[in-house]
Amino acid sequence: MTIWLYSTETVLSAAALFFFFWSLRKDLAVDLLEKMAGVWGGVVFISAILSLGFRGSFFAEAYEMDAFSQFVKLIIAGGYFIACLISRNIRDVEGKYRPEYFLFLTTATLGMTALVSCKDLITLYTSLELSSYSLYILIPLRKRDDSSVEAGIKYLLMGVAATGVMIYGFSLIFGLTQTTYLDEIARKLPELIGIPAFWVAFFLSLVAFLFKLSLFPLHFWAPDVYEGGNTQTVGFISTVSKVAGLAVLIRFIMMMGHDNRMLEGVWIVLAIVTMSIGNLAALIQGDMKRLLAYSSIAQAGYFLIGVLCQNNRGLSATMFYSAVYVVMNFAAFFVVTQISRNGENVNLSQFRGLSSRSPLLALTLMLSLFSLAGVPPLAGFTGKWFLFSAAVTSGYKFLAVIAILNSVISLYYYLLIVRESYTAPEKVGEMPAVILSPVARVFCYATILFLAIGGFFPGLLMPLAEKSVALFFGA
Amino acid sequence: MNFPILSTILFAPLVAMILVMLVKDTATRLIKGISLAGALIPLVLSGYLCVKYDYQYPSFQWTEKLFDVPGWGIQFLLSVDGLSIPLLLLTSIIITAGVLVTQRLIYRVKEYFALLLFLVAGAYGVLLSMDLFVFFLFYEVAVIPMFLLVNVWGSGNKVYAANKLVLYLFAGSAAVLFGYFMLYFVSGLNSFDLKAMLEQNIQFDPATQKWLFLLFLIGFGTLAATWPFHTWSPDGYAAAPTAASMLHAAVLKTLGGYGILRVALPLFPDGAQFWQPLMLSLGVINILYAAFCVIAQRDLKYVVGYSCVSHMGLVMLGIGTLTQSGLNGAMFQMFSHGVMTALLFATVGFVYDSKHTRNIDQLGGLFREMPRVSIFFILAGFTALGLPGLSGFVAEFLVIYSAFLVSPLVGVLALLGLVLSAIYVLRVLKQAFWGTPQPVEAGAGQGHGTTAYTQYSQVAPNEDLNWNLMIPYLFLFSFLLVLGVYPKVFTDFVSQTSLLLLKGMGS
Repeated sequence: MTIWLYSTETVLSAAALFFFFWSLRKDLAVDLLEKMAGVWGGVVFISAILSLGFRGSFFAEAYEMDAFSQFVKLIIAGGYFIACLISRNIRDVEGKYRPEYFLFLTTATLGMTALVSCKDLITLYTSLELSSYSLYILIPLRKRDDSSVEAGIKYLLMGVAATGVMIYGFSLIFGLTQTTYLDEIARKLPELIGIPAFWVAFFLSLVAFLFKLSLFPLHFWAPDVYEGGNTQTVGFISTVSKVAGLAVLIRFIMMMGHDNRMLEGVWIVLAIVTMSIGNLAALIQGDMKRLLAYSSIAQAGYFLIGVLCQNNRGLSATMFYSAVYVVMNFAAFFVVTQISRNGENVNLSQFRGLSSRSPLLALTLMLSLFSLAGVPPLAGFTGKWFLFSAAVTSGYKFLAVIAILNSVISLYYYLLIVRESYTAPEKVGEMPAVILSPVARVFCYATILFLAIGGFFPGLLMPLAEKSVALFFGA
Repeated sequence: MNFPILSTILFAPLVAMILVMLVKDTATRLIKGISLAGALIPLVLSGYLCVKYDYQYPSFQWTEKLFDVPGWGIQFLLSVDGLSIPLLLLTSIIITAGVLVTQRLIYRVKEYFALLLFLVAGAYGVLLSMDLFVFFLFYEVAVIPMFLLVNVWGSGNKVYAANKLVLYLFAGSAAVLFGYFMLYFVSGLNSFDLKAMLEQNIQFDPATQKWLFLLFLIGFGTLAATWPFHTWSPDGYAAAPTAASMLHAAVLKTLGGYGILRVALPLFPDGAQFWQPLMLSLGVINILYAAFCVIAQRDLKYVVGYSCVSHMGLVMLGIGTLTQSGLNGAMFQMFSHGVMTALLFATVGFVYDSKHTRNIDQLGGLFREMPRVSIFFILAGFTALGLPGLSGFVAEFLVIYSAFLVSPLVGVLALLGLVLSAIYVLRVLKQAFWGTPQPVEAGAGQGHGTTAYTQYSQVAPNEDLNWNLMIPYLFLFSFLLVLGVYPKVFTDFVSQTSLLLLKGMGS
């Protein structure tokens, strides 16, 4: 039964249908809906775990389940699960739109899971659009004021422009090779390498994925969209969507094999500029979500270090780090959702005295931010160690040095937030207490546990990451 | 399959921590019981290791491997030898005593014990892991709970102290981390396996040895409160809650010395010989400078904090002699100083809870009011000044004897430190325990941002120790007495290990 092979996609489609029909109900019963969403998230995650070992290809080999796609799907499904869990009582999305909120969250995830399995330019394009359009709708779903609409339009226009450029690149590739299959293109590479048009086409094709990853120079949308969008949604965009874009980027770059060395300089410059811009701009932000936007831009720069090594170590380090990144970044966004009372944006000063208002939340915030900064002994440190040591052993010592300097810069703004949350408020009772629901408490504990285990026992996750990228090296 | 002793020592406090976090906030008796169990299990097991360890043939006699990441040179390798076993025992003694002296805590009990157990798990991890990467992770574990413990349950100028402590420890560990990376890449090993490095006698060229040794000396030295990077330590200890001060002063500071003995000395013998004058002078400066600092202190906890820095100078001096007796003395001092400082901090903590002040002028005549707790402070103070019959004397004798072997000048200066320690201990005893209370200006001798006394524990004003509360104090003191009367049991245990550590030294 081949249908079992894409059980993750099937479950996601069923979930999407479920939410669609729920939106037709007269009584929306939002509480029940949110509980159901949590259940669906769990089912998707479990099915992704179960299908981790599945291999096969479908639709005239346009769609392939391999170790890489299944591992990335596991990360995506994990992110979806988290998004469903923390989307409780979203105060800034009107009750009547909640079914649609979950519907588009699900279709976006479906698009991303499809994206990482695609081995054909056409299916790649359709999956990308499925995920992107869902996200374009999710941003303006937030009520409040015009800023969310503005953010939605910005995201839409820039995203569509990036996709347009990508389509242009695809068409050039098709013109040069007369095929849309990635494997076929890879086979014709030797004759293409000498043609400048091919390199233009190749790079243009990547633009949409660089956009998703928010790499320089396609990062401008991130701060505005993060600020305007609803926090749960932008948490999703900054983690899951990024990992999906990263996966396609890895597939494209690895398709080129050794010939990609010609673009090495470009990747190095992009990585350095991306992380430096992200970290330096984050230093002066007052809005927490804008700060996280710049920090996640910088994190994309770290991802690229592993990718440009183009060897087993570099790629497995990237996959390890991306799995850790999803959890730690989502945790930071989760804290924002808990602090803002009506879903409004949160300033750094609103973190003051968090340690006495909710010790558990303050601890979660501290550990997730320290992990993002790469403070030992957390998972983020171990992930960064893998990335940077891969860079050193691949001969990019200077890149590792720049990345470490960047981590030190980033520590400053993460520490600002932590200091704020552990400083007592000037007046007692000035800040409202934060009350965590049982689910939120469990999420906090699970995050803390994950960050500690990921740091001390990388051996649990690393073999999976290594296995997932082995196929690029003829294994 | 054998019983996984080492993993049990490491994970018992962690499991206890998780259990504590699952218990309801109000079930304080249960929380304290679980914490005590999490402290006692490693105590029993490390006692067993001490008994079973064959000290005539020092080597890694227990090894457990939990997982490894092949290709990256990282593994979760636990192993113990004659250097780590005494310190494991020390750690478990201190945490047991620490849990016992905290029985009266009433403020946020659950979080306090969870953090304390987390802290001690970090210390066990450093002592047990033989992979430098994991070693470093555990080394860092100490910082986060310490920051929280000082910030939430601390006293005095606690925010300042917590920030200072974290910044210094991070700076020190940055040096250590850099050194580990150098080991990983420059040595060409591409592995963090310390056990393999030690057992295969990896040779580094002299220039590398010099730089790496200095790096580790600074990094671990910061943790061991070596001058001029010691200033975090008196502030931190004075501000920390009692059990945290005990644990940090007794165990984590010792880890600095442990790091030098474990990593730097055996791997870089040439570097050690090159920097020997530096180590000797740092040791002497620590002893003398901190001793002068103690004399100026009015706060009882600062007195203990600076005397602790002064005593760590003896550890550095003992290591710096690069002789077998010197290393024996350094290890003896690490153990004895740990127990002694823990006892001092325990008594000071109780006095503070009972009298709401630590100013030695205000305390005056404490012996009349609270004879039991005073007795323990006096006994620990006698250990600090090196009274024969207590363990401090043996340690100081060994270290200073070795210092005379290396250089008489250093020996004389170290002896001067002993005289100073007698002066400061007797001065404190005279004023705080037998004198009469003196009026002091409000806030005298205290820094900016000092907070008033806050009650975290349920201790009645002027209450003295009852028999129940005396258990941890007696427990700690018994080690000081036993080692003072019969030091052979310890020196025998470590002397072959010391010889092994010095193996690489040319003549």
